[in-house]
Amino acid sequence: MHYWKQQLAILSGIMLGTAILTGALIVGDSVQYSLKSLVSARLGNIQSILPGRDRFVGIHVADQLSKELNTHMASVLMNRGLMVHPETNQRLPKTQILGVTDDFWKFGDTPYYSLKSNEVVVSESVADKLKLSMGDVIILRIAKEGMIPLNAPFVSHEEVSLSMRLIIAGIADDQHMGRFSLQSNQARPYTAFVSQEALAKKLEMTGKANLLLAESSDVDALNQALARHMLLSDYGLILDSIDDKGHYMLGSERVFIDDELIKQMKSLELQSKGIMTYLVNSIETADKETPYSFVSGIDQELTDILLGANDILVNQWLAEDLDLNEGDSLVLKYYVIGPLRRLEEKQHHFIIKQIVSDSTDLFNRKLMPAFPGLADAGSCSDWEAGIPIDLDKIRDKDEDYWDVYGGTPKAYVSLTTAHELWDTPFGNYTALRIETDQPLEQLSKDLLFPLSPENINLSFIQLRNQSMKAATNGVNFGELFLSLSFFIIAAALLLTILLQSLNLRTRANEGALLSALGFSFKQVLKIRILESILTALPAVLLGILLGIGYNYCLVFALNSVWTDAVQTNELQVFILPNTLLLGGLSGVVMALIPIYWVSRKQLKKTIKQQIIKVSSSTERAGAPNGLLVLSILCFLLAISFMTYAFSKGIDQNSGLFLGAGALVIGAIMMGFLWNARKTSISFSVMTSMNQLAQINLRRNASRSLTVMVLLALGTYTTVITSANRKTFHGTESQNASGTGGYNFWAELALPLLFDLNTKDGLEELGLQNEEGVENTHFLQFHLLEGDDASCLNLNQVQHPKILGVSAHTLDERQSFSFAKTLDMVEKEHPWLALEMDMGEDVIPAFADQTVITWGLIKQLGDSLYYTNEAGKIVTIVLVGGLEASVFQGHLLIADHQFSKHFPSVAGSRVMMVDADASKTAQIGEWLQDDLVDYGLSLHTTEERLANFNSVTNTYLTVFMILGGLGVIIGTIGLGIVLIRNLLERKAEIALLKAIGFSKNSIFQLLFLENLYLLLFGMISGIIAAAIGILPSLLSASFNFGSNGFYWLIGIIFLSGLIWIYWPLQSFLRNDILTDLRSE
Amino acid sequence: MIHLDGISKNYVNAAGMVRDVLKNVSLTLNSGETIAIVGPSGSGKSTLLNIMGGLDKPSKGKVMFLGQDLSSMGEKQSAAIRNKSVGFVFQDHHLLPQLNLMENVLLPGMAEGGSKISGALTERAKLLLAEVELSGKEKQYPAELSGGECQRAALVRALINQPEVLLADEPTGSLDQRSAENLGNMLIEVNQKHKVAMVIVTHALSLARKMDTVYEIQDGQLQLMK
Repeated sequence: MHYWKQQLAILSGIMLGTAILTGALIVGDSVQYSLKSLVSARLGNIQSILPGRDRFVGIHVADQLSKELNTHMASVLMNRGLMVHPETNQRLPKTQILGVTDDFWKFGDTPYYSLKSNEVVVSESVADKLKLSMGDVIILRIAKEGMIPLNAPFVSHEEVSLSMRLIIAGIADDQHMGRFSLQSNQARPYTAFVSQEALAKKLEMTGKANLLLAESSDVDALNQALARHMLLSDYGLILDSIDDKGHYMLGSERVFIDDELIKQMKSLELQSKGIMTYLVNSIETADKETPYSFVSGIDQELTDILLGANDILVNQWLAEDLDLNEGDSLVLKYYVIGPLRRLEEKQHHFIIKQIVSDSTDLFNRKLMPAFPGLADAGSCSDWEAGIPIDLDKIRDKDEDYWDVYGGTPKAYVSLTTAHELWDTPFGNYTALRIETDQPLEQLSKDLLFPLSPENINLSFIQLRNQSMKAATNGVNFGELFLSLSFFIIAAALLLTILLQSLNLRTRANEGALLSALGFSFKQVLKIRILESILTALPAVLLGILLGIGYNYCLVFALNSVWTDAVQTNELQVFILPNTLLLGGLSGVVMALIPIYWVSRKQLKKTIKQQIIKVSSSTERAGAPNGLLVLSILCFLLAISFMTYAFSKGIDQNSGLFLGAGALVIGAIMMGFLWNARKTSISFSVMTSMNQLAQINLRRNASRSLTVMVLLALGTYTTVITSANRKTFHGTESQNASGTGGYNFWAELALPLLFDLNTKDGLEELGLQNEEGVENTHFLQFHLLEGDDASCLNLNQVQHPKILGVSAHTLDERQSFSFAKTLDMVEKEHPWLALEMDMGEDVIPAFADQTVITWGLIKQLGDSLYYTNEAGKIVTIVLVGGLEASVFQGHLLIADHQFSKHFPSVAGSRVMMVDADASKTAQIGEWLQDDLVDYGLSLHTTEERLANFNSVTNTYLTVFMILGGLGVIIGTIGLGIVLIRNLLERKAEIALLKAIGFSKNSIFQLLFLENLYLLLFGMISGIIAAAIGILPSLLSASFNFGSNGFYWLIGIIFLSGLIWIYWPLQSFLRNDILTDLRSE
Repeated sequence: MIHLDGISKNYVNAAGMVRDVLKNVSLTLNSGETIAIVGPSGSGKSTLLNIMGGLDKPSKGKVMFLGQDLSSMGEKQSAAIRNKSVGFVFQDHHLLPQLNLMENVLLPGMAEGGSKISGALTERAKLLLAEVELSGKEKQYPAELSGGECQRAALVRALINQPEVLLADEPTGSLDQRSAENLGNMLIEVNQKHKVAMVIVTHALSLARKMDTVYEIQDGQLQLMK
């Protein structure tokens, strides 16, 4: 208790270190707990789901599974669109629209609302955003997605959306499933809940759902039960009897039957024959033409006539229309429909094998699949076929044919030929003709037998488990804040060491006396350690309490001023006893190890050294050459790092510069130490105060070094983090920048089905006359929904969104830059790597490098696994990482790969626009106006990047502030070193006074010495940082900016000055003459 | 040169108890004169010396130094007088270990903060070092010298600015007999050669007898012995 002041100081150091460590660990727990809480808020009691995506099952399935498995279930019709508040005309794109029944609300804490057909319940986030209240009217514009993919051939695109005008009947909070979403993301979704029945009716999907929710987590049981209860209609299949002779036709509500289903059904021992019917533009001879006819590719078993690749059978009607005879040739002209409904007309020549009579089985209108817009058309002129129909070509006889025979095919080719000409990713059959003596019901059962929901990518998944895992394995804030707080912890440790060292130094006589009285070294050491434990234990306890407070401050900051880093303000504090224990134990270890080491070192000095006040602290042992060698080695290594980086590309090797900077600090410090220990001095005779100060600085060089290194590293880190803040420097218009040279990034709630770079596409959307459109280039992407893998999502991401990109377009433009690529990627044309053939179901992909490293926790060469629409696992291999770009959050694959594996994703919902820089404002305006009903969300590419940069910049700001605080605390170490030096030099200072140095002069001398220390440390750090940020400095557009950096450096310097000034003043006020007295 | 008039010095401890170290001491030191002050340990000899040199202030009384009242002078002024007119030698040489011999003796030359040492001062240092038989050791450090050599260097340091008075507090206290005698003789030589007045506090009666006047301090009071 006698030395309570010293012990209090040591307690402070230990308390600080423990507080920061514990606080950082608690932040990690708090964020993880918050994310898990959000999962519970999102899912309520939902454990598993059946995501239908583009598939729909009957709502009966949910009821049957619920009864069989005795678990609560609900069916949902899940869609997307936009919401409009008609009073204010405010729009909310990216709204999820859920058709629900009363069963849905039972997954929440309390059942909520039974929706009528004209009512809607909105989530709290929607109500807040649009300032809605109960009873307000809103309009929902909903994507018109049904059984048939919009991408499928001959599907009408006339209506891509429909609208519903609804009254707000409720605002659902978290307790009432208001936060429901399938995505692992802490951000609040915007949701509108409507009556399932009303929505289904609007979408012409009555009795269907594309999402099942279950309270059970037993997915095996759920999947088995699903397989048992699914009907043919749930597979999208329709079985009809053709006649009463045992002939049936199996078709699909999706027009095309999935190949996997065909494969399974063909494994049955049934007489089934495949048919592929297609709409051709014309059937022509040299001088005649029959427009818009159906032609069927038929299984050879459907006819006795052997059909070769170019053989064709025609019906009587066609033969008469075109004056055809056996052996004549004709041409079929037809459209092949590519992505964004790009139509390419192709043709194929055939030779007429035979003219078939109308009495054959082939002459049947049921061979035409139920193309919507065709099947129910009253006349040819009513056709909505999804392709341009020249009504002038349709003759009266064509209308007559339609009236009488409907879509009965006029010609037949081999199935093989049909598959070659009209191959679609949705399936290569439009029908199966089955011959059996089984009744319809039995046949249905037989056909169902080999089918499995997995054949069409339908299976239950444990969503809750997956979400909890994503929350648990997300960004580790504990580790993050530990690393961000590194300097504070280091400073606290340093303070503890210095204070203990100072404490022991002042009590050196006591230690020597104990030794002289017969206490062994171990006994004295034990006494010192026990004293320290008595200080450390309360320090750690207080540190834990302070750490809890620190955590509250951090969580508050994350929810407010640093909310850019976490994109939510709903983080909660959560404290685990284990974490407190860990923090406390770490604090004890952190305190006692250095204390033990310092105590041991001090006590090892001899009695004589401790009693006689010999200035043994002057290190004149001779300068070991090893130090010089090390210094030179560090310097050379730094040079070699930089040389290598320059030779291989500075942008790709910027990390080497950081390493070089750190090595330079090492070189400077070791050089200082070597120089300080030299017995010869640099000038022959000291002749000035300045030189005296420099000579004095070399005393206790090791002690000074500790403080200088901390100052250097702290300054280095502060400069680096400030320089690496991502800002725009006028390069964003360049193709190689993160914007790719595009002006706008657009996201749409509803798909754009057409290519806006074509005249037809522009006309379809009425954009052809807009100002500047002729020089505007649109880059449209297919989008597969998934988790947001950008830095805006704190959860670990398993399945990021995927964009299908035009690799050739991006290659020609040389857009974007790459941080890293695998060796297989050609450096000159990196984008073409997306077109590489890596094997069956293996797809090369790019993503932002930061997403790969931090979002996916992967590296180049790693893979992600998705299930495609055919139910097959596809492997997506990461072959390249982009520099920070607008694509952040997405995986990029070649568009043809996208279409192959996810064919039903129709149109583009993400788009980039390259416009004339002088017309950007106008183009932005008409895009907003003309695409408003598509739920357009339009941002400049700069804004988008700035949004991502805000996360990085926030983390850098936090690091800069915490690091700066650590360095400021480190300057206290400077003060402690100074006090210790003053104590040891009391006699020297008294002598200076005796020989006529005024207090002022003495003050100046000592101040100068320590100022050199401060400046040396900080300047070393700045030089090292200049090397570290060399790549940025060499960039013509680099702009350091301020962002508080200058303030922080100023505060560090000021704190250093204060901690030099104050101890000096205090010391010089005291009587120091006693050290000169002989008595 | 120095006149002490009714000097008293007392210390008050934390408990408020007063201890009188010097009681009404009067003393005059004339130019070129040598005085020895003897007395038991703790009698106030060093305190008296410090007051004479302006290192300490009396509780009562006046210290006139070359006609100026040292006791009421400001710190800066008194430091300037100490630098230019007084030379101190202590029992422990107090050479700075980080400076070599030459640098140590030149130290008083930079007392005015930032001023450079003149060439003339360096020459004087060389001459003085030769006088005390330390020529050739200018570049050596205190750790490389004997106690006697260090003390002789301290003497040179005290004389570098040509002071009027030299105040020595047990200058031979840490030396062996031979070195002590050597130093004592040097002090006399310095007095004779450089006409420097001296006040020497010492236990060594042999040294004290060599001075012009010997005082004894007993119970804080000064008594003339010789």
